Amino acid sequence: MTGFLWMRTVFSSELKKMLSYRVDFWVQFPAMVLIQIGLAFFLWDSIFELQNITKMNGYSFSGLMLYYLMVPLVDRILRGVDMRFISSEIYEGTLSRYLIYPVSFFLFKYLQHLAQFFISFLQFILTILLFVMIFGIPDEFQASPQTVIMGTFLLFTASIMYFIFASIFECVAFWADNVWSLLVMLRLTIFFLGGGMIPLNFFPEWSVDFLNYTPFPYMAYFPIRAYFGLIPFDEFLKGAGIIFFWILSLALLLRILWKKGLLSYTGVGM
Amino acid sequence: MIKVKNLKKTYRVHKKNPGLKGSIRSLFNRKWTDKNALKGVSLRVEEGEILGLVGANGAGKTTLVKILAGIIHPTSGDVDVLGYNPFRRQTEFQKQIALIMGQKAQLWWDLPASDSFLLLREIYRVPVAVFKERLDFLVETLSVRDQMNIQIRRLSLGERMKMELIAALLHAPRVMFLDEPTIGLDLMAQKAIRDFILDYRKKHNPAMIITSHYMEDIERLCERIVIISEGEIIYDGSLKKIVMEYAVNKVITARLDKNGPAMKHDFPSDLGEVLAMDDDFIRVQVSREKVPESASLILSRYPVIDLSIEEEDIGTVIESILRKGIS
Repeated sequence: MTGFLWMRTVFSSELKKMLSYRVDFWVQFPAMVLIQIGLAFFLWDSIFELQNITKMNGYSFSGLMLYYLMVPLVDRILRGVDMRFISSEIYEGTLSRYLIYPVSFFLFKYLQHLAQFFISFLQFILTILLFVMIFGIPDEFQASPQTVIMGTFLLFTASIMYFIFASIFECVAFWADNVWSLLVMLRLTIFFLGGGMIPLNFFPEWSVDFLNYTPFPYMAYFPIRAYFGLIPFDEFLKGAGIIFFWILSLALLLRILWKKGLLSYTGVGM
Repeated sequence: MIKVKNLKKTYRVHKKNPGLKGSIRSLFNRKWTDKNALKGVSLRVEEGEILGLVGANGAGKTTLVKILAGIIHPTSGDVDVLGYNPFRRQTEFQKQIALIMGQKAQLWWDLPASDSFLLLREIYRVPVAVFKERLDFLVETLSVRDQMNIQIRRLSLGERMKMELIAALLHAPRVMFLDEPTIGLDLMAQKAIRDFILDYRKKHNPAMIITSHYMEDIERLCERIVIISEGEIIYDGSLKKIVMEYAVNKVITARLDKNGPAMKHDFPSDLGEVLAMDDDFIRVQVSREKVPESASLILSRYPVIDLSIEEEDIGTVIESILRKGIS
């Protein structure tokens, strides 16, 4: 049991760190949410008004606003530790310290990621409750304890998948001088193909059928739909299966890249 | 404890011509060059031994330390530390080594030292009672009790280095690698850290490898040194022997009688070089074979009240070897 104590300490240290930067923590969060939902509000308000409609592809205006509120919150949950959480360690040579400690580097980083997941998830719950208290529950929102559990489970597994996915891109830093643009591209791709810009049921059906076999929809659209109560149980099982498939495949790829990368690692800056 | 045989490490480095044109060209046609950081290094370090690794910047010292600690992979050769291949990074190996990098913080920047130590206790699974006893001893000896609850980022360089040292010793490692452990520290802090390392060696008998540009570190801590030049060991032996074998000059110092007869303020340049001269003393550096002639000239020319002949200091000898190589 004592062998696992360090995990608890890493997790709690990360929580302490986040709370010690409280100004950043509380200013960045509402600013990000307000910008995202503000843009969506003006865009969709004009569309609903121009077309004189009350529903679009199954979404009411308030339903869409709730969707767009959930997008940055889910994105924040998934992102966890900051961008460049591995590449900066490689570039600055600080990866070296993790290589001499008798613990797994990825487990260490994942625990920090999990701490951020925990805080961001609390923000997610509080913000949704605030929305519902102010604007009421949208018609299409059919949440029940079961759908909340399904959504939370999907969010948790998606965060693991995102962590591994991002780690793969971060590991390119073993060979490339700068991976920042690659990481931005990854985030934009996830944002677009994950339904962050427009819900995926606005996409052509054939593309959604294809996308459903990729990791992207499970990083925003799918868990949000689950919270809305719009994912039947058999679809949930299929989605969970696809997520597990991707977690295993990506973890295998990450393992190969990591081993190869360490052969090229020079510990610069040390 | 540490055995290295014919160790080689080659880095592949990207070469780019200067200016915008060079940058654009390198986008399409990248040129690489091989840099041989280690060219077949062999050495052994035994239990309780402190080995000083000396060499100019880029000689390969840090590369060797990084390979021994399991951070980087060698291109070829055999490495054995405590019976393990360091690059496999087995837990049992990692629990018995420590690495201190003077130029790089290893502790978590945002945490106070006390939190970092607690985390390290759990990582290395040090029993609570042993941890408390060791921490108390280290904190007292290095006089950092008042800084324990301050974030690492807010500590001075000297305080941070002391914390790094404590962090590296909490699990009582059997092998220690210290890369520039006193860099940037004031004289008091340098001395405190040196004394501490010697004291630790007396109590725990670990094998240590130290790299430092400060000759005093090497002189005070190491009985044996290895000089590396361009990836090759050019000297491996005792510190005393290097002076006996490679010091080509000696230093003659004479204390003079101020009230003695007027003296000629010069010294023949073909005999040696005047290092310092005043009304009441003269210090000259002469080659070994010219010591008798120089000493008798000083005795005959100046009103000498005291005369001493000393070896060159170790730093000068090593510096000369690094500059000219070993002949």
